[in-house]
Amino acid sequence: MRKWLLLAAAILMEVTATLSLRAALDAPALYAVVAAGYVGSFAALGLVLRAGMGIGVAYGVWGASGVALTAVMATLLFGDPLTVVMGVGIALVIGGVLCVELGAQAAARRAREAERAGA
Amino acid sequence: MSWIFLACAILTEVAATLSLRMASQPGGAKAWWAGVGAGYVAAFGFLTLTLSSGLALGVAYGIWAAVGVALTALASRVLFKEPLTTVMVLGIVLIAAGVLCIELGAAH
Repeated sequence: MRKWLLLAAAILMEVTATLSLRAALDAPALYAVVAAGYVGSFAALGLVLRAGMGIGVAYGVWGASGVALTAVMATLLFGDPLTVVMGVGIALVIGGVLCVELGAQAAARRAREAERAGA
Repeated sequence: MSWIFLACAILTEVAATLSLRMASQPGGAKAWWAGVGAGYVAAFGFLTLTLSSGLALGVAYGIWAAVGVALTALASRVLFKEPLTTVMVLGIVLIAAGVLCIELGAAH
């Protein structure tokens, strides 16, 4: 559970940094938020891996959620267009993240059972 | 030429992400963090070259992110023996397709 909270924190910092990168074009002081956000995000991602999540799962969920959230937030904050194709893409990302998460949990459960059977 | 730059951007990104895995392990050598930094800086450098040689941002970023996620999952299966089930592969394909849709949809 802790590793998913850390992963959520990594995603939120990444999205904040990316949106600040866009806003920094008008307000250069925001570059401080950009740097802090990306550094914090990678630190949190490192903690997620240390807590035992696989890099394949963590990186897929982190990257995809960041892209989807950034697209949604750019629409809300900057009035960027959100097309039907983009909506379909966000739905696909959410479905894909769910599949990776459920698949990883099932694999971990099987590994635990195999360990018990072997012990 | 832009596709060669894009391939280099993907490979340096995957190398940096795999270094992050090595650096963050308990007892992992701190030197891996240098690989993480150099890899991501090189990845963004190659991505910039890709854009300046004419590939649209939506296309370049979408392919970069999607292929990076898929390659990282495959490499971690091979290098670190991380589990990769059919459901997880399906999920990675969906993520890749979704990221491409978001970036291509945003490009128009």
